[in-house]
Amino acid sequence: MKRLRVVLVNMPRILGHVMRDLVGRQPDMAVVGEVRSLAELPPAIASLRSQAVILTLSPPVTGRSVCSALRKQHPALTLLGLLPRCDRIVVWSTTAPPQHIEMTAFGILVALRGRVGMDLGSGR
Amino acid sequence: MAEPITVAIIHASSLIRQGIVDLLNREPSVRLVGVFDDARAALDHPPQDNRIFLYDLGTSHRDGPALMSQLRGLPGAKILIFGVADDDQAIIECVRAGASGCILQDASLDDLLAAIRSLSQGTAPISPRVITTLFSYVAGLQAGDDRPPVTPLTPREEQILQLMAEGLTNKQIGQQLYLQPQTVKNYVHLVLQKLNVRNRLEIIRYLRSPKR
Repeated sequence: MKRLRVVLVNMPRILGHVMRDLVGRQPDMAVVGEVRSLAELPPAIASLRSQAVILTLSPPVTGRSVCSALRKQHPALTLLGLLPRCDRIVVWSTTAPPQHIEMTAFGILVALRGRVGMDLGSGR
Repeated sequence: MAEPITVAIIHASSLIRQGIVDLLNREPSVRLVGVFDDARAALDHPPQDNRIFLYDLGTSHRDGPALMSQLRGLPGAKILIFGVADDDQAIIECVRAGASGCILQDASLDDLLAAIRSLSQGTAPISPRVITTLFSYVAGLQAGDDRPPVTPLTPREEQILQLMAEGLTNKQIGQQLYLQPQTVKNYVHLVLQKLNVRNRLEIIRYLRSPKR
């Protein structure tokens, strides 16, 4: 089975452990790399042939700063932003405004599989 | 073989809580005796004596100092706060709250396990970064300066700030946090006032500034 290639960005280390463990247990996805900052992300996406990115949104890293450049260069990229303080995930898609869903393992996996609209709605 | 160290986890986020449970369950030197989403639940169903509470700083903010104090009063309880931001104020806050040790946000799983082992042997796990902060804090106390470094935002104000930084309107913030629009408006006003900025644009500039 072809696996979804995921890169982690700006992840506190224990949260990074948790995400690697969660994704690593799925048969259809794998964490292929991790970078500390947004600046390192574009080359990592190219070299790791990543199809999905999970990043921690914590000022000064905001969803706006991520989307402005990244979405133009990689419109097909699955992009998830974690807001740990609010226990929320922002999910960006090419066809709809960003959606906020609850930060759960189920929510992350559904979002990575691109089925937020179908399976979770807005997470309410 | 030495007895495993008994640990209980308190974290408001189900994702992180369950993730840490999965990771610690693979450690033979640790035995999990409780998993709670807040301190109230831990106090209502206290696990056995002589355990270490691995307590998330953000969750302790939500719970408040009174519950933290009650938790500390449980027989043999030691509190190890984790998820602590790398700034002086957060570190000092842990000491003031009576924690036995603190782990910075950027600590690895190995660091966390080392801190648990250290605390179980009666030694406070303190990194050079934390020691540096504590020395300057104590020096400040001797000089008669007992003020916190900056006016802190409450946990709710921090949440509002984070969602404002994401570009959400007051209405959208209210929907995310289950708050009335007027309540959000009041919080936004307080955040602007505490940060000494006039509008959302200045908030973005503030968040990007090195003084943050």
